Amino acid sequence: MSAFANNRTAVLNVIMIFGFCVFALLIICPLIALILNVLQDIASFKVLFSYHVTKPLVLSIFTALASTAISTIAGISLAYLMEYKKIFFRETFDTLINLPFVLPPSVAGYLLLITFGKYGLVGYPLSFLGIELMFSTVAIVIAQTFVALPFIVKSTRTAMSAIPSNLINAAKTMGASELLIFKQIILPLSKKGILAGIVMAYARAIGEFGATMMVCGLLTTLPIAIYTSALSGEREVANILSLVLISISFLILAVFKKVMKND
Amino acid sequence: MIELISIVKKFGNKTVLKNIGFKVNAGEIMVLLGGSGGGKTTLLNIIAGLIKQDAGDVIIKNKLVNDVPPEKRNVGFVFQDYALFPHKNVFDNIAFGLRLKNLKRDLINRKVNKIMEMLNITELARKYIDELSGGQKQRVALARSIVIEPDILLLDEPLSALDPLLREKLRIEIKRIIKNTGVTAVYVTHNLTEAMTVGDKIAIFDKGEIMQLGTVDDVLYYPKNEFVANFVGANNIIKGKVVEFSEKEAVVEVISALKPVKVFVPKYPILEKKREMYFCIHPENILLGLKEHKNVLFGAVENIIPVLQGLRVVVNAYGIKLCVSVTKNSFNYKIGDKVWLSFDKNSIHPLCGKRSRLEGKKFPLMCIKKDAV
Repeated sequence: MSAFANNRTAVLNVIMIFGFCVFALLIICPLIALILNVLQDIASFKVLFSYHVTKPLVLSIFTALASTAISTIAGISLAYLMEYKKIFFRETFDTLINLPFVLPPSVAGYLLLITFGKYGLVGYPLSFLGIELMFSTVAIVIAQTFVALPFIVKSTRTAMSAIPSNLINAAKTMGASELLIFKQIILPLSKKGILAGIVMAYARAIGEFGATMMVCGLLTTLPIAIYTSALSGEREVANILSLVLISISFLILAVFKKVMKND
Repeated sequence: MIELISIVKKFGNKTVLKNIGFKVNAGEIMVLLGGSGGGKTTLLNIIAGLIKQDAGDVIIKNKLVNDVPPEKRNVGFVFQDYALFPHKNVFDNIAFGLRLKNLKRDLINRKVNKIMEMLNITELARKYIDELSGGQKQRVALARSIVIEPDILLLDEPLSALDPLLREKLRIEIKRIIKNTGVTAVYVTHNLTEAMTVGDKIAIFDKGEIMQLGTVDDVLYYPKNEFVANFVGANNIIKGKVVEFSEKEAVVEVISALKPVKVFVPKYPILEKKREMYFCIHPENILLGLKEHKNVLFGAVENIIPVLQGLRVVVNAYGIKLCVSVTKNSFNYKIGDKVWLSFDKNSIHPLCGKRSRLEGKKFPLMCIKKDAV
């Protein structure tokens, strides 16, 4: 019996060691590699203030802010709609909203092209008004919103569904209108979920590569700049850009953890 | 004042409320009493407008409110789980409804302070809900629903989450507070003692139907059917046939007995029309070991069950099983002992929900029930 138990413990230990090796190889090693690369040429830090770095950095920060803002408003309203309103085909609706989670980014980019491009479903009528959306900053924001939105919807919905329905009923019997219940009960009580959604959405938006790549035209966001500089051999730029993006990611993770901890 | 007329509610195929109708006069407390799943909470939700009935009318203060949304019904609701807002402190919870009425800040403060004083929760004003005990939450919930001066106060099992001692204390207090405010109330509970303490009238619910509606005295001593009789603890139910009918009383032959047993029953009008029916006797109204009353039976002790108030003794008399309530000290028999039973004719009632014609005579003191177990 004890030999059998020992065997099982041994198997478990092997599996744990395997897990740790994967973690070390895929997460620790690349980070070390990046630090070594950066340290090899300390002078390359001056690139940080060059046009190659600041331009994509500013573009990424601001487009991600814009897409997160749009996703927040749209996401909260969609979550509210799905949680509190009688809607037909709720399940289908839910699946469609979560589609960007599983859609390959290149497919997402292609879909946006055939929708908002010059001859696209929405782009064509707009072109008559002289509005062109693709290959512009707006296109980047659209692509980022596309991938960031489901994070906010999902996280907000989870928070809203945890609010006991009697709290809303109590507010109703005391004379509260729907808007007031939303403002005073639902919003404050799902605050944590919404904030977590915002943080995740911003992280997803600022790191968005595939779909953005297909719609950004000549503009370069941070991830795209890393790709092009790595391909063209500008290692010092790729190093610094990666370091910046990783720092932002760490910061976002720290904020996320703080949000989830605060009650 | 509130009136319900033929309320029907179905959830899918299941009818949860079947033709419910009653009226609660201004300032009265109506208790809806029954086991879980009886449709009591659904009915409260319908009165509050949180659920819409499939048929029937809700009339509050002589106004038909079928199509009035809950926020415009002016109904106070104390929920079973209290439903206090966890992100607001006690003061803000209580002031919530008043702030919606756009009252002046001074007035709101005055009203909230007054109600907090009345409920002894002034010192909790700045505390958050998760810092409160169950009893304190209950008081806050009550304060919050009566501070808006509702036309109707609905209470859904407000004491069920509390421990028995606190529950006993609060049920008296809750009645005092409701009566002080003068609000008309509908109170849901599954606890008989609570219903008796709080209610002016009691409606006994079972499976979406009102089994009996009346004063506490009515349902307790004049149950209408077997369900009510069992529910209120009058669980000695015998089937009998009226064999004689005189000026003052009727003589009933017990059908299920092994040998002919006759009992004397007051003259109820229904006995003239219906010859065979069920009768009930409260266990507290049967005397054990004495032949003091007109109805006397002889039997053997079959079981002795300890209960909160003493002992419940099951006696088999010619095949009729009767429960008798006794105090522990007064009882010195054991299982198998032969024993005399006797009971007054006034303590046996046909299950019709009506009083006898010769009513007026008070029950002996011993039959005032303290609790039904």
